Amino acid sequence: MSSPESQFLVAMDDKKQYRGQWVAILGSKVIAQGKAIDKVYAEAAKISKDKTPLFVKIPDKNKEQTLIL
Amino acid sequence: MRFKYHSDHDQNDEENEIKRPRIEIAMRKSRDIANVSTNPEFRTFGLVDSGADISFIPRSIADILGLDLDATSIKATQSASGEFKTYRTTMYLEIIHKKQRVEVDMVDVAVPQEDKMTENLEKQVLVGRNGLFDKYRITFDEASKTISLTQIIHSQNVRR
Repeated sequence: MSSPESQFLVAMDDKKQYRGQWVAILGSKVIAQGKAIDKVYAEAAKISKDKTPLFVKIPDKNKEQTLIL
Repeated sequence: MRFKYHSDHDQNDEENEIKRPRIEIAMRKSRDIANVSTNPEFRTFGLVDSGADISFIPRSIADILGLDLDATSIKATQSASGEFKTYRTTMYLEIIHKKQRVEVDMVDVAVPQEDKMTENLEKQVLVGRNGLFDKYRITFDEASKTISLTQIIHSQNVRR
């Protein structure tokens, strides 16, 4: 893993509450969440200012599929 | 650079955990410094896809970045789930490795006309071959679930 945010993501043990949603992580904190990435980005931008959060879509358990691209 | 395959599921959710060769990346419209108003940056994980000719991002992310989506650039794109139309444009790409940012530079990217057209792909950010595979020797090690990127040094003074 690379950034503090990705390390936090891996260590998170309560991802279930975010299933199917985008989350914005800054440092070791989820600063915004929601289904629409544009709204999550806008909310996160207000908080993060000159820093760029890590945005991750947490998979929906029921929709997780094998990928064949 | 060496990355472990990544899963967004809980570590203890073994039933759903599929680890994939995804690396942390940052994307912007241009090389200019990130600015939320003039050159927004989006940081996420991208799936390194040796089968993709160019990179691919959802329309929603392209709109956040403010990429130029010109109707004259629209081309047919073939995926495993069928053909769909995409805009062709460029974006600036960096890889984030051990808290450092490593420049990949401008890469070609396909953006679907609408995300709903690519339901199976819509949540995917794909890092394709263009701009990356010609700069890095990339090794997928499925056994150890790691992906390695080694920069290719192009000699400018090749003796004949």
